[in-house]
Amino acid sequence: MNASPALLDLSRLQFAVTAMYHFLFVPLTLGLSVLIAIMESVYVMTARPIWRDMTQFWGILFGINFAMGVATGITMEFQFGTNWAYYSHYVGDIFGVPLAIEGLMAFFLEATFIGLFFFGWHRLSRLQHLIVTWLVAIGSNLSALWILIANAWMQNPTGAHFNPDTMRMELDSIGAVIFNPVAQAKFVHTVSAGYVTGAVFVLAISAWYLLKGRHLEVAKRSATVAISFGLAAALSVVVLGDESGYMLTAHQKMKIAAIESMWHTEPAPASFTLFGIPDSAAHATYAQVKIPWLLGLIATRSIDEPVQGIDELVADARRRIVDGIPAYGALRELRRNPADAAARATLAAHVGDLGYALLLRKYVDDPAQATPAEITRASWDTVPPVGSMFWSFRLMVGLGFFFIGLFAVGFYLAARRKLLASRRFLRVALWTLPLPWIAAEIGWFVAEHGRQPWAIDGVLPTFLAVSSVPTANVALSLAGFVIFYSVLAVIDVILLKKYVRIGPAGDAPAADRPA
Amino acid sequence: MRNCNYVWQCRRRAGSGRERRSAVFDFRRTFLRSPQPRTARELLLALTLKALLLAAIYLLFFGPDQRPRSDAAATASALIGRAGPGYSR
Repeated sequence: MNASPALLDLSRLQFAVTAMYHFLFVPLTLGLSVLIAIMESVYVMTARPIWRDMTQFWGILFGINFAMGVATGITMEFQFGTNWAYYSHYVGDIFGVPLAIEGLMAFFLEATFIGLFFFGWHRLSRLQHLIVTWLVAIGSNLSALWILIANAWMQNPTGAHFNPDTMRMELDSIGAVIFNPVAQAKFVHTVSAGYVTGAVFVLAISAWYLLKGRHLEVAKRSATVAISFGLAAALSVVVLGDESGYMLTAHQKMKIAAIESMWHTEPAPASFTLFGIPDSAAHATYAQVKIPWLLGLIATRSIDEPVQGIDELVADARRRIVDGIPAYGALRELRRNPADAAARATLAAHVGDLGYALLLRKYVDDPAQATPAEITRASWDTVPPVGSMFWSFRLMVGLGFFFIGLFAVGFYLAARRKLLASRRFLRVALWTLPLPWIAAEIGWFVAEHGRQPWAIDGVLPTFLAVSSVPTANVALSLAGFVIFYSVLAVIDVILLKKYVRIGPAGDAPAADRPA
Repeated sequence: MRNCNYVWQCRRRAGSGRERRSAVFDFRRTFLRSPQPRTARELLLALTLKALLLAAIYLLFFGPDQRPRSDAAATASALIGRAGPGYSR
């Protein structure tokens, strides 16, 4: 029996709410940890106390953010068991590996050394403390690596096979999972986006100090570090995001077709739609403004390969659904009689398309009984919502280029020593504060909403991955999360505001400074 | 002698003999002494409460009775429906 639409929607909403909330803290942890390590490196090299004060000040803000990130991340791992039990059973052997390594290696590393970072200032030598700070930064980034390896496997399942006896995917090659090209592209793109977030955070708060005329020495140096680091990171985000786009063409053709609102295959070299008004009902995109050749270069790294459109990809999905139906029948036979060699051979021949046949379970109990109309409907289910994908992607890319412009202007002003005088730039920098979070959330929306209808691309539809639990339970826990997370958000903002207002210790009057 | 982070630093700085033993003792008194009894009691209470709270959350929300069944048979049932009469796992 399939999950009810309400149960599926609520379970998805719960995961989306908790994941998006969690990702408010992750990019700042990634970026701020490296910025702090850079500041402390300067302190160790120059022995100038102001750099220690900067490290300690931004370290407090990092600590608040880190604690929130940990608290909100744990709940998602529970949801795999509670809300996505069939998913966990079906792919837990592979998906669980990077999650376990993340917890045991990366998280333990950062969690251990973050204690030394805060309490080790008077117990460790300068060099020892610097090593600790870098280990916190490396641990945070390694943490992201393992999580993204797990996520990338959902986008491009590799290094595993389906075992009909255990009804689960089993690992063939841990190397294939770790070195999944989608994971590598995702990791560098996500981490660079985190660095941009950290840089904008430091720049915005420094700009606020500079506008208020407070903590000028710390703010000036912090802004300069943030601008330099941010410019490199913003350029990296765009370049590495381009690599992610190339990976989509290789592994998730439908996602890139939806992002481009490209209903029909573009002849080579495909042009990029800068602007357009997608109409899903009419399978058309109106008022298009196109940049010739660009999509071909992004998606295929060539000028002689076409980029497939939605209509053609739906036809391909239809063919795969039909091809997967024998696999489905064979699997049922094998569940009845595990010794059935003919069924095993049939499954082996068609197992690559088993996931596509499972799409039919939305409409019929037995896919072998599906009508051509139901097969057509199921094949169109492989198309993610085109309009939201089209606009989200463009907003994300637009913000990416805005960050490059912001940091480039900042770099010019800092190099000419005009940063303090340019109040207009400082105001823009201050109001930029929420934008990297918006860009990061939109990026995840494109990645995960664009993966639909799959929980595991081409392997397991989302509607079959959800647990058979009462809908009321999910609604109740979702309400609990919303209330609890709202309280946490208020606490977070209050704490951040409090410590930003207090400012760095080094700038406090001498009488207030600790001995 | 308290400006040392490690016992070997205290030893090296103290030289030898009585002064050295005193330095080591000073280091231990400063850095290795047990927490104050009140702090220890508070820590014990906090950890006990935390363990009880976690146990209650586990039993209420994540215990065996709360967990959806997700073995091979349950997954097969969810994904491919019940097979014919011979289905037994």
